[in-house]
This record gives sequence, structure tokens and C-alpha cells, in this order.
Amino acid sequence: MSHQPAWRSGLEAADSRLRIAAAVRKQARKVFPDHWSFMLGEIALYSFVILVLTGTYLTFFFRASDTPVAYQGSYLPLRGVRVSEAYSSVLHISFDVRAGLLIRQIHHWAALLFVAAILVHACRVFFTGAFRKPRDVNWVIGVTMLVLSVAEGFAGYSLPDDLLSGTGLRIAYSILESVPVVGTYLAMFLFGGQYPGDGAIFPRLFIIHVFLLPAMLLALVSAHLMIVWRQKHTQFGGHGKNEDNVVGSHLYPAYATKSIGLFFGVLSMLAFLATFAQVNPIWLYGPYDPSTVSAGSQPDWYMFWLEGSLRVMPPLETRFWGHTVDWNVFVPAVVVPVALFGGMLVYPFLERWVSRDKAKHDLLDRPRDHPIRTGIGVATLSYYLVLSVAGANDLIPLTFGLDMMSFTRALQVAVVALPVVSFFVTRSWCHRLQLSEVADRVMSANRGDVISRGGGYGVPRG
Amino acid sequence: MAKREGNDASPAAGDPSRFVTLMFLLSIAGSCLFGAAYLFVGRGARLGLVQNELMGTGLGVASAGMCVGLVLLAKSASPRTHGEEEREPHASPAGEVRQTAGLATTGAEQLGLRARPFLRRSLLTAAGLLPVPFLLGLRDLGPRPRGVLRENAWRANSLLIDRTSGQPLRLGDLEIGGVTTVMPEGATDPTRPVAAESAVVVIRLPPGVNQPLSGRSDWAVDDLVAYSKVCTHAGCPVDLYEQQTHNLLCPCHQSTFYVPHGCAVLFGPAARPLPQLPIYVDGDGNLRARASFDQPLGPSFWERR
Repeated sequence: MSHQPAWRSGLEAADSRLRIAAAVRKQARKVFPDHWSFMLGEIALYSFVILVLTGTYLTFFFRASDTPVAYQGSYLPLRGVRVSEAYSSVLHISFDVRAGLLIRQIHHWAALLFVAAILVHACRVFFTGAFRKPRDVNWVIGVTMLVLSVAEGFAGYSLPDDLLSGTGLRIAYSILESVPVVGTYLAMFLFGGQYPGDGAIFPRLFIIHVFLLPAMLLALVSAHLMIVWRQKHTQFGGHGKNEDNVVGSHLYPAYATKSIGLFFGVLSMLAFLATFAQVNPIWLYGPYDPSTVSAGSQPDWYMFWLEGSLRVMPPLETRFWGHTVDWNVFVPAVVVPVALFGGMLVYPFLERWVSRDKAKHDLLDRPRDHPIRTGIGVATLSYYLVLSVAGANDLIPLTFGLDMMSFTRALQVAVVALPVVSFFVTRSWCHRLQLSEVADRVMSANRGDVISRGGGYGVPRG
Repeated sequence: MAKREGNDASPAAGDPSRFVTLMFLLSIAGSCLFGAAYLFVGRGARLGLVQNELMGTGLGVASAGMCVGLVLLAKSASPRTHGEEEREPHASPAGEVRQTAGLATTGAEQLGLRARPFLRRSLLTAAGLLPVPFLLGLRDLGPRPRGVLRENAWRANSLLIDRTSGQPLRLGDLEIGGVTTVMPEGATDPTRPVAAESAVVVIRLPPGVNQPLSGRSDWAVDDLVAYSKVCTHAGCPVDLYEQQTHNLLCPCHQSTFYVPHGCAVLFGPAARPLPQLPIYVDGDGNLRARASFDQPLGPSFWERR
């Protein structure tokens, strides 16, 4: 290329004002490790980007109002039916706005993927010890985003005012109300009155969903990325990788190109899902009516565990001094989530305190090398999994011809027993993996082989 | 697919393959498909769905082409895209923190905040108090719970209005094993507050099955019983009646109530029976409430006695 490329004059214009040429050059050469598991956080990030874009589009057409209207759109089975303006506007988006259904379904699928990606990303960070100092601060931000993303998802699917989402809101009201002392105030203040309130909830949910929570998420995503950038990525040891370097692709050109490719991969997957896998067909659920509910009501997947938590709780309620505490709602829907997320938040600091390991760590652990941590992680996941299964304690027995009551009782046992069992099984499995490695090493040393095991999952050679 | 970190300056083997170019062309085709579907396929319930599928396919193909193309492009790049970078220490060199903290102290001294404790305290108090007016403003987000909690619209002699027909429920309206939802007269729209809490399920049990609780012998009419439809667990409508077992089941969390015995809890997370509405039949054959409920409806809450 003999002529001057276009970006050079652009860079000159920027540099003459901001003196950035050297900084851009330096950052473009930044090195990113190549391990596949580092993709998970990016998937979450790109889902978020897609959520913001599609969500903005949806706000152009959505109306957050419970004012009753007679539906007049082109979905014939509901024409003339008295529905809320919110429900009617979502039908309008789905049937009368070009690409509306597509964008709506991409939005919903992206929300499902967003929470899933965050969760799996958090597992990766946990099991490899990437949360340790100095990245404990980013772990706290990440867990906060996980909580916010679940809340954001719930607020979002509550907006269309269909039969399913209305039932979810009714349960949310009851959960707020179950908090001792201040519960009724919380419920009244969110809904603006006794359930379902005087139409206050939809404008409030809307601003929570499109501004409050996304703004918080955006701020935290930015902080998360800035901290990753500043602290640089962790990496597995071995193959010339150690505590003092980062080995991988330069940001430009390889890493950025791959990462943008990943963005389009996520978009492509979501587009195909939205096209061929129907999600949240609110016209089939019908408009919300607090006096009805459809059997087999199931929330989005990331609420299964909360739903299951409510379902396996024994019927416990106490009265004293003229007050009632419904532990059967308060414990499963408030105490359990607070304990779970609270436990995640404090875990890095707890581990530091117990292990007396105050050093900074830039190399990742292999899960087997930390049997107790890995055990705790697997136990927590098994707890989460049992609760999620319990969220379908009607559909699973129905599908497999089991008795719902026995199935639920089995889950009640499993929710206590499985975490304990899986902790010990995982721990001893880790020990066994370690031992077999030692045995390997001794054997090959006897044979005179040279093997390299830096305790890492290196980039596969060749 | 050279992944090794390399210092050799040799260019990548061959040009970016034709396949990558093909992928970008595919992406262009996808975008064109999206545009064509948007412009030329009609809308409406049926055509709209076809249009959505074509647009979705277009978008999916357009982005899939970009994805595969870009990733392969990156992978076919020269090994020089790989490298190593030194990690700088996470913390500042010794003394930096002390100096910075010292700066803050000096600043506070220069402002006179250290020498004058009352000045300092009044500043901190003023700053702490400033958000209070804003928080107070949140008070009017909703009413005080006491008073409005668990109001329901049932009064003595309220007619039972059938939710489906909108007509008063009459003695002969339900078959044996039949079930229906009723609202109190004057509050028949369950999407409004208070009315939402007042939904009632009326069930006609087979003769001889009902075993009224003590003190409730005249709460049923023949074999017709009326119970609050709002689950005492989390407030879902208790909607599934099983004719064979006489169980009333909440579809949300599977709380199961035994209708013939005062809707006692048989299974599930609900801790209290469903409240019963005492009913009678008036001279015209219409069902009416004998009185309102004797307790708050729905889930428990702190102020409930």
C-alpha cells in the first residue's frame, strides 16, 4: 500500500487533540490468554449488548400501563378481548410491527443466555481460583451483576402482563410481604397499594427494567472490564507461563478479530433461536387475571431454583405476640437467596482468612489442587440444581408418571443430603486425581521419559 | 492454525482462504434476505410469521457468516499475532501510599478541618443529613399497610357472582363435582385491588362427603362449599380441583387442600387452610354470603394475628 490509509488521518486528527498515538499502540499490543473458558464472560458481555440494542427497540412500542383496552390487532383469537394496554402493546409488537416478534424473541433468548453465561463464567472463575486477590474486588462486582441480572430478567418478563407473568408478580408480592416487621411496607411501597395496586406497578417495573437496573449493570460492566484491563488476565501455568507474564494473542489484530467474531456468533445463535424456537408466547398464555392461573406455570430458567425453593419448603409458620412469620415463604425466597449470594460475595475473603493465604495470585489453580474449594463449589451447584429441579415438581412427575408427593419428599431429602454427599465425593475425587498424577510422574521418571506438567491446562501443542 | 508463541517473521501460509471470503459473501446474502423480507413480505398474523422467519434466517445467516469468517481470519493470521507481555506489580512501589495518604491529611489541615473538630463534625452531619429529604419523599410510594391490609369485598348478604357468566350463582347451577369461581357483587373485576383478593371458589361435593368443622355446620348450602381462592402460601389462585380425591391444588407450588375437611392442608408448603366463606340461599334461589370472612385472606404477613 503506497497511499496513506484512511485511518491515519483520523488518528492524526484525534492525536493532535488528545495525544493518544502511543497509548493506542501500547493497548493494541495488549496480550490476552487464549484459553477457551475465557470466552464465557465475553458471551455474557455480548448478550448484554444485544439486550440493550433489542430492548431499546422494544421500548419504542411498549406501553407500561394496566389501563384496560379492547385488543384490536391482527391476532384474531384475542380480538375484542379486554386486556391491559401493556399486554395489547406486546401483542402489537409480536404481530403488527415488522421484525417485532423477531426482536422480542431475540431479547428474551438473550436474557436467558445472559444469566446463563454469567453463571457459567462465575463457575469458571470460582473453580480456577481466579477470584483470589487481587481479583476479589472484581468477583464482588461480578456476583452483584449476577444478582442484578436475575432481577432484571424477572422485571422484564413481568412487563407484558400475561397470565404467567402476572402470577409471578403475585408471588413476588407475597415474598416481599413475608419479610418480618417491614414486609407489608415493602409490598405496599413497590405496588402502591394492596395487590395488584392501582396500576402503579407497571410504570415502576418499566423504569426499573429499562433504566435503573441496566444503568447499574452498565456501570458495573464498565468497572468489571476496566479492572480486568488494569489487572490483566489470569492464566494457567506451564508452557512458559508464570506469575510474571501473560501469554496469548495481541488485542490487535488477532484477539479483537476473534472476539468480534464471537459477538456475531452469539448474535447468530440468538437470531436462529428467536426464529425457530418460540419463547414466551404470551398470546397463548392469555391476559392476566388474578383469579385464574394455568397449570404447569413455570418461570424462566434462572428463577427455577427460587420457585423450587418455595416448593420444597415444609409448611412452617409461627405466631407470637400478635405477629405472624410465614417461614414457608420467608426462608426459601428471602433467606436462601441472601445466604447463597451473600456466601458467594464473602467467599474470597473467607478463603483468605481460613487459608491464611494473603498473597496475590495471577496463575490459575486447577480444581483438583484445591479439593475443599472444589467440593464447596460442587456442593453449592448440587444444591442449586436440586432446587431448580424442584421448580418442576409438577411437570417432572407428570412427564414420567411419578407421584408428585413422593417426588417432592425425595427432593426434600436430596436438597439436604446431596450437597453434603457431593462435597465429600468431590473432595476425594480431587485427591485421587492428584495421587494418580504423582503415580504417573513416578512411573515416567522410572522409564526416563520427560514430561512437562506445570500444573496447568496449557494451550494444546501442535 | 499456529497457536505457538512465535518470534519468526514468516507470513502466514497462503492468503486468507477463499472460504473466508465465501463466508463474508454469505453474510452479505443474509443481510439482503433480511431486507427483502422486510420490504416485500406482507404483515398480518400469518404472513407476519413467515416474514419473521425469513428475517430471522437472514439475520442469523448474516451474523453466522461474519462469525465464521472473522474467527477463521484471526486463526489464519501470522504467528506474530501471538506474544508475551510482562505483568507489572499490582501495588504501587513502597512509600507511594504513605505519600498519598499524607496529601489527604495535609489537605484536611489546610482546610482547618483537623484543628476545629466542631467544624468537621458539622460538615459531616450536614452531608449525612442531605439525602434524608429525598428518602422521605419515597414515603408516598404506597399507603401504610395497616388498614388496607387484606381488605376483601365480601359483606353479609353479598351475592356470589359467577366469574364466567357474570350472573348470580344459583343453587342448581353446579353439577356434583362441579367447581366455579365467584366474585362478590359490586367487585367483580379481579384485576382491581381488593376484588383481586376476594376471588372465591365454589365446589359442589358429592352428598355426604362434606364434614363441616365445628361451628361451621351452617356455612355450606347442601353440598356447596365456598372457600377463598387465594392460596395461603404465596397468593396464587387455587385453581385445580380433583373430583376423585376432593383435593384442591394450587398450581404454583402444589399446596394441596382437602376440601371436605375445611380445606385443611394435605400437602405442600401452605401452612394454613383456605378460609371458608359462609353461604346461604335466599328466597329467589340465589346464593349469598352469610357474613364476610372471619380472617384476612391470602398469605400470612407480620401484622396478621
